[in-house]
Amino acid sequence: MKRKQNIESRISVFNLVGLAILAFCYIGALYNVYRIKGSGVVGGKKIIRLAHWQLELGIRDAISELARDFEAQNPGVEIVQIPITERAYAQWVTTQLIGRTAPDLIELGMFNIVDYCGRYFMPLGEVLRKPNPYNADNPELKNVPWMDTFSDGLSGTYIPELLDYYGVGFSRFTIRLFYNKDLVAKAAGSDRPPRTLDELFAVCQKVREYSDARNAEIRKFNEEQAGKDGAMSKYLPFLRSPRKSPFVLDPIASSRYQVSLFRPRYSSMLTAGRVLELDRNFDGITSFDELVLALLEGDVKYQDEHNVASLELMKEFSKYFNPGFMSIDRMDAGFAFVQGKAAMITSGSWDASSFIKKINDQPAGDAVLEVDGAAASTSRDVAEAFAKAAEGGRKVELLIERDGARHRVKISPRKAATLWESAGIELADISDGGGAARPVVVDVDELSPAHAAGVRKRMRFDVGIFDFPLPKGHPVFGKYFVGNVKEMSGTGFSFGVVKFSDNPGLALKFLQFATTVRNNERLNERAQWIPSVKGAKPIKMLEPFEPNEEGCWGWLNFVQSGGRTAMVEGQLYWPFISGETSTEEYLRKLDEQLPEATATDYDNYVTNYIEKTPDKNYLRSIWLAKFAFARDDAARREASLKLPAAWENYLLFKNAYPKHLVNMGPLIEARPDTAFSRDFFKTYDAFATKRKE
Amino acid sequence: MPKTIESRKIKYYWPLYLFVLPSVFLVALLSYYPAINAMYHSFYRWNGEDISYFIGAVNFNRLLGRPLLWMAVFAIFAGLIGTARKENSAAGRFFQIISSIILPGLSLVVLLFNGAGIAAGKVNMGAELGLGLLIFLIMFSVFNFIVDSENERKWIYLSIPVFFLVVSVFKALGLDSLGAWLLACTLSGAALWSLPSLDGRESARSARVLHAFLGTGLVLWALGAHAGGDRVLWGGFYVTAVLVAFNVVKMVPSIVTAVVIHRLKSERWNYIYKVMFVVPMIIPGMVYLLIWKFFFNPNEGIFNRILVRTGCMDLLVLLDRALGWGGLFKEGVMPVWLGHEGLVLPALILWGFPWVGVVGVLIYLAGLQNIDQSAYEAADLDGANPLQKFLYIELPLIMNQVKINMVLMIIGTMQAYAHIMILFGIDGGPNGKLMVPGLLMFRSAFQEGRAGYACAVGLIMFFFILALTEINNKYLKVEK
Amino acid sequence: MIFRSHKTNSLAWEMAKHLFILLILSMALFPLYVTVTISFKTNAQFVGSPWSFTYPLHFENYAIAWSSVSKYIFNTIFVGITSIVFTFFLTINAAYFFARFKMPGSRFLWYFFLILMLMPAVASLIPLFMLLKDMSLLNTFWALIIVYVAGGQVVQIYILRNFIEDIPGDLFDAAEVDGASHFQQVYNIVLPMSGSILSTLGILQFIGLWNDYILPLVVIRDDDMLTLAVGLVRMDSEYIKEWGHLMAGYTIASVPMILIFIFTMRMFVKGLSSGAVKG
Repeated sequence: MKRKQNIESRISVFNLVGLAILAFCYIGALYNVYRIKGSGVVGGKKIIRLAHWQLELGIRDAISELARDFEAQNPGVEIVQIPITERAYAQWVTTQLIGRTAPDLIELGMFNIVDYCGRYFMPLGEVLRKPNPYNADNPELKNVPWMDTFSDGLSGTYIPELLDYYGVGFSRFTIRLFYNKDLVAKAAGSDRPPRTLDELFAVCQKVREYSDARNAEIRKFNEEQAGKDGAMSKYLPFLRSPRKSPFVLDPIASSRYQVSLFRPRYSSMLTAGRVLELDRNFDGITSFDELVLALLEGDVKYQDEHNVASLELMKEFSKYFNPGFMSIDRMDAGFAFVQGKAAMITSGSWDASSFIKKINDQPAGDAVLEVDGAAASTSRDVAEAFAKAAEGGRKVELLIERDGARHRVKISPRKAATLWESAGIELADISDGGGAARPVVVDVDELSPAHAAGVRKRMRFDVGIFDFPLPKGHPVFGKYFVGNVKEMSGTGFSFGVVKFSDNPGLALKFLQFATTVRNNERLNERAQWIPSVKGAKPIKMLEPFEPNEEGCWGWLNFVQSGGRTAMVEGQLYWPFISGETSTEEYLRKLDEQLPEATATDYDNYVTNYIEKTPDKNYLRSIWLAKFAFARDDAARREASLKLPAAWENYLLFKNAYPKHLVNMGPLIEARPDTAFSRDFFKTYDAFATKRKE
Repeated sequence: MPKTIESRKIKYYWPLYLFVLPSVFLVALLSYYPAINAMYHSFYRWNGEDISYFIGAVNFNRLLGRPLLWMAVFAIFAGLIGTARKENSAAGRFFQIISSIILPGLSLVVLLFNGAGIAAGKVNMGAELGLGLLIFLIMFSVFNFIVDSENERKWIYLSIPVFFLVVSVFKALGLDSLGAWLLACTLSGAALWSLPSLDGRESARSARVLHAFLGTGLVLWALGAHAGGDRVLWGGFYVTAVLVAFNVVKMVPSIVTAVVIHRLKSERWNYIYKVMFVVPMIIPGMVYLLIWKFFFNPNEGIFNRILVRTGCMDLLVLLDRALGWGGLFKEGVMPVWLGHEGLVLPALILWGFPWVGVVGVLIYLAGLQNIDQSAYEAADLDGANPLQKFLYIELPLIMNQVKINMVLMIIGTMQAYAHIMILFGIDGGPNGKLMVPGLLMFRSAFQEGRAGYACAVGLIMFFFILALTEINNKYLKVEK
Repeated sequence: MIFRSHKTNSLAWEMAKHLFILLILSMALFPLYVTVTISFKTNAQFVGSPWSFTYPLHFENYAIAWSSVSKYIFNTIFVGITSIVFTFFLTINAAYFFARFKMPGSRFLWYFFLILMLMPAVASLIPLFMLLKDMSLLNTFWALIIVYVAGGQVVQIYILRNFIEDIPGDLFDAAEVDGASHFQQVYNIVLPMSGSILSTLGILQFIGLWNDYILPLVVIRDDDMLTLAVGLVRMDSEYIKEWGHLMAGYTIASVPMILIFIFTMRMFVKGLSSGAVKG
């Protein structure tokens, strides 16, 4: 009983202490809250908030720097950056817009641009047609309209449905291939980037062979070890003699995302010519209805040889991808590349700086300073010391430097011909950070004496960048090659100004500030991206990323993005690209399943146009009225610019249905006798009856 | 004892109302108003703020397919619940026969007529039968062992494995899951109601009621899958059902652990373990979830490494080849638990291993402490083995708590979507496999801007949860 | 609970029980062990050896994590304690009303609360959001506080009513005879006696809102004002994964709960087994 009493009293003191801590934390919390509120509008500061999803290194710092400069020039203004992760971006933006708590500047993307811009964002066309006030001190650009100062005239942010510009972009992005120079040099003999497709495949093949050779060694070793196992070890895994783990090295690191970068590019190189042939109205693009007509009339088939060539090419590529690449995401592929488990990877210019940083974060490897008391200056000295020690049967003592600290390790080498076989290490002379070259451990063999001594290998490497090699002159694919791809890298990373922002003028001013030649160059230099303003130069490392301005465009893609065809084809493509089905089977399944999906999507397409025609008519009437009844010159000028575009748009939509009737009419009457046509019309008739043509 | 105050004395006591009114006001504003608003808006096309126009039942049509069918089935279900407790009423029997035999049979016929209910693709007879036999043997032996021979209801317990066996036989014959279950249900319902040896038995009555619930559940499944409603929603309900089933299983470790700790001889150790088990409890659930998210990372996470180290990975590769899982586990490839279609559901079930946490163990221990020593001594005199001691002494005493926890867990699982959103993203994983109804609701409203649709989804969820709560209230009433 | 030594209760059986418990305990504590070990590593150390402690221990991970996580913790503490205090204030009064008096309309009001226990709050999120927006409470702490207060009312009133009913009526009668007003009765009689149950309810509510993810996600915009659940998920989704910092952040985030539990565990368990179970 007495013990219980003591416990009771102990509890109450205990509780008091607990409550005291609680009270203390609460006071701390109150202070924190006060601090937050205090940094608000109190003090008269105007706050501009900027939201984006670029979490990559460098860009956040770049914007902060720019923001600080802007704040220095405009006292009383504070710019707050709000980075949101990609995964949550669409939901976050939607919630904020609905709740009217949205930031002033929002990066456009990840959501339905047309709908959202129309509802929530300010049209910027008027401001874009005037010169950028921050360019006033630049004699060349003083009178140039702001939108013409961009390298692509800001065509990337024009929204035709709304007839206006809604965003201003800070950077451009292109896609290239990164490669591990050290690995490629080791496996293929030289670290020169491949120029043509055969060279690329040759390098991949050599990488494969290298990793196969290593794995063969490991297998041999493991089999020897298995021979040494006793009977009990079958049941108790930890009694087994140690095995080496397999050597993982794939030529190209890939994921679903990476495939979606490879496929359009190489397909375009091979099929762009065919695509142009199907363009009936010579507007430069083959729209979905043109494609359907071509399919119905038999002008193109899924088995078209260019298409087959592009499929085969992708399959050829997939041989060099890492196994199971469809289920991993792009960050895992990047991770594999950074860890040295893959020799190449494709990604955009936005990843360049983060790859390089991550690679430099990897261990630099043990640097050998002394061998048996004598200073070691080249790897040959070290190797010789090891050989001598092996002869004499003694241990070698090394003084190594790791992460700035020095350690001594003792290794007992075996008698063997090479350093690798005797001690299990490989050395190279590397100079980190511009000093003298020192022998650095670049590889450590598992289960070797060096590994047992705790020696760490170097995981950093040199990164190179090269453009996608062209199939020119390739024995198989060369004859389908049309040309390099024109990179329509319109300005990306673009921000729109929210309609109900408190300080729209100020937000706009910041955008103008950020897109002067000097500021844009500085911003992209810091972020290690490519500038969007004419005359701003990218940093040296990113020069291979400069977009190709000339080339072909468009690829033979039988699907309508986001429609049923995309879903069906996507489900068929994945088994194909992962090697589970052959090209013939893929094409056969396309023949079976795609015509109906095409009919569904085509019907959607036409119905969409029919349903949107009144909207376009409405828009045209508005601008017509604004033109006719304009109150002043400025209004009339704006209307005179928008009216033709609105009228064109209206005609485009209005004529879509008659065009559809004209084109499809004869085909519906006299159906071509192809399998595609039969399947297509089976589904199409069902829709047509609903619509009563 | 509450003091009764008549209405005429109000003018003296009216300040007392002020004690309650702030609560009432707050609750009315922040709980009732939004709920009613949600029900109202489910008939509208609403984008969350200003666009709002009445579209009637379009949302429900799109979600349910044929709302009238659903309402009919729900009416029957309500009738079933309402009459089930009454002894031997004609109305009760009527509803039960409809739910057990007529509805499932009818659904099966309709399905077959429309071309559904047959298994797509080749049926691996051997695998189906083998699996069915395995489940049958395990369940049969377990039930046989646990349930006392003198128990009147033993035949009910033993007929469950037979039921599963029959289902797998039908599956092997070519019906798909739903068809097989419907057929088995119809046949067993007919057996229940027509076998003369069962007439008048008390256990037969409860068996029939249970069977009626099973029938209704199957018909709801059939409606969900084939009534033309939103496939995403019904896929989500299916996932929820699976999660609920597994969550029930996940309650077992806490109970077992509590019993084992309770049975320790030394009180000191009892106390020590009790304190140590507090630790996994007090880690906030969010942190636990994020730690497991890190575990599931294919390259850097620990889960795959543990599997490889303990040899489980080899086992899984073997199972993959034997059972034909289609390459989920391949030699040398680290499975992507959070990214691969076939693996996301297992990952969602597995996370939080070993599932002792959040008040379970401590509550059961607290309940177990009330057991008198004499009960054990009596049991020892009777020569009871440990398992029987568990079933007859400990289990009944914590049964209340278990029931409460189970009901709370079921209702919670049906509603919860935050952890799915955190682990798999707002799209519910690859191909939206895990788009549970709650997540669908959140996504429709806060990402797609279809708030009316979201409210309709919410309303449907509400009805399901209400139905479950009703069942709970009628059947699992807690005794004080 | 001491077993009388039984003939067949051998040492082996006891050992087996201990082994079983230890196994489960180690598996349950393993994630925590991993978290703590990783929190002291840099990324390079982590890649090298993920299992054990690596030296040197990098304590600066905690400093960096603290600068990110501290504001989330403080925000959550603020919201939590304020909500709990307000909830208590409202529910004690309401429970007192229901427990002590049967006035006209009190039955209706009681069912008013009871029905709410049946209604799942899932679908109410969207209109609730719109309501908060119309009240201009979005992106403030008050939005969170009033929703949590409203949400905690029903269960607490139910339990507290049962509890107050159990208090012998003579105490109240005596106080009334002494001339205490109703409010004083509540303050002087109910409050001291309900210490343990209030702490249980408070802790349960605190746990609930400590882990709440959905509501702060849609209501709060500024990173400074985020609560812990959303803040941790934000930290987790950073592109460059510094596992050391992340794990340190998780460890720091667990500390407040650990502290609270250390001080209140006994009362919590007592309250659970007595009052809450009956509900």
